[in-house]
Amino acid sequence: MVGVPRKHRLALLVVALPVMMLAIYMALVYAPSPAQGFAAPDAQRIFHFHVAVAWTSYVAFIVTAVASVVYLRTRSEKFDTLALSSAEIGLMFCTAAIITGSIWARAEWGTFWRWEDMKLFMTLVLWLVYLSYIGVRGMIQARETRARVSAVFGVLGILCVPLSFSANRIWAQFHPTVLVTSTGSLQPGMLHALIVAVVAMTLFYIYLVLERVELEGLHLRLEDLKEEMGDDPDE
Amino acid sequence: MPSTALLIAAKDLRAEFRTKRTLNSMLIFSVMVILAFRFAFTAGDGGPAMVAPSALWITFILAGMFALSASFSKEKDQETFQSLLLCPGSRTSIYLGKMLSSFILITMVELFSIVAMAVFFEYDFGGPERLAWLAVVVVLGTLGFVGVGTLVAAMTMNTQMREVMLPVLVLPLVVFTIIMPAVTATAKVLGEAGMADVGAEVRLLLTFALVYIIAALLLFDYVIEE
Amino acid sequence: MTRMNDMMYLYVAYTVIWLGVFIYAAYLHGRQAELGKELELVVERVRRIEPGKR
Repeated sequence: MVGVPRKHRLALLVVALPVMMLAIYMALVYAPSPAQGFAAPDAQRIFHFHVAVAWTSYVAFIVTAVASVVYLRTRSEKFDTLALSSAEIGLMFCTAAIITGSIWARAEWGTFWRWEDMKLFMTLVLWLVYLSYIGVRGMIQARETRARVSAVFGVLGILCVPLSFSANRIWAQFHPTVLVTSTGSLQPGMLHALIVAVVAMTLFYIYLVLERVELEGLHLRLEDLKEEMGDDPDE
Repeated sequence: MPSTALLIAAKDLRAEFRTKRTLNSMLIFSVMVILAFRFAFTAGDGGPAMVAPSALWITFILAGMFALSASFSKEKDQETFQSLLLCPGSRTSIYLGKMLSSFILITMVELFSIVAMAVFFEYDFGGPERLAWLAVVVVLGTLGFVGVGTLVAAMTMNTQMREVMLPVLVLPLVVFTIIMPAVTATAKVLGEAGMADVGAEVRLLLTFALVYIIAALLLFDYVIEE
Repeated sequence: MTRMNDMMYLYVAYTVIWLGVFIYAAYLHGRQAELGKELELVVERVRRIEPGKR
């Protein structure tokens, strides 16, 4: 059985929850309101978790790519399981980043989406790539082929992560850029809140991946047993 | 390029020109798409320079899917893929050969589509400069598309519903990296007010073509293992 | 943009994130319990068909 014992997963959750509480407190209360230049200063507080989920989704997709490479090298099924789990949770976080971003955009810009903004466009493409990743897995029955094909796609898909990450830095259109720039204008309080939010989200990501890996392990074991029995117990 | 790759490409093209089945369906398809665009957009919509770039690239990419999917599904259907694997030389020569033959087929269709576009949209190139830059953009864009498309076509060869899976997997990968810079560059080249500088787009297309081809060369071995 | 409206967007965005994470985690636990039960059933069945195995 692959995976981490239930006890350890619960322990991780027990650690992650207070950090998350602290992150929410810091994002809502501790962080200062933006000094000026925002049409919707309260909605600006979406930023902390928007960046946290977006960041976590990049991390998740990178984990998928690394696990895919390791799978192709070792052919050990647990890395395929890890790649799938991380991609699925990354897709979920990417969805959350797009939705929270749209909500903020509605408050700040008065529109949910701007097609001409490269950052928004590229992140949607990233989302589509990993949707296809999950989709192609459903299309292949043979387990070994499925793992091999999706590993190759998992490696290809990672090309989109740096493009999405750097799109606002290259084109500098509407999407704000406050981190990793020389002109970054983040107030210290906001930066602290952001760091805690990123840490909290990453802990949650690890917890969710461990649970998803556990689930996939059960799923594969069941598949094995059914195959061994040669018939379908559902009938 | 290894000679095995050239032999495989030559074999594919010879087989294709014997029946012209894929080529014919691609040509008919591209006329249909361009005509559909011609009917859908009438004079008031800003003229051919507005519609032509996206019409052209949609035609290229969709018609290109036929060539990519056929290049491997033919081998699969006629059960010749195993013998292809027995070719001397490395597996990557299969990739290079398939890529080359698809590239040549798609380029022929693209040439035809550009002529069809010029005829139906009554577009006047007005000199060799525009045509030369258009050729650069089209060749680089196609190279990137075929580079990643051949890899994915080999990947989906063994899946159910491979005709659906190929575009579903290829389109998200190429929409930002290839289609968008290519459409922007084509629009700049065909612009009514004269040509604008397309250096940035050409560099982008070249970069992605190289990245995809290198990634495919590294990954192809894992794709076709039986 | 009124101040109240502004707060609404903040509220909705946070709700989306936490509801999303919570529902996904609940789904994972539900499926795990389901598959765990099914696995037990199958193991039981295998044991009945082939005594001494497993």
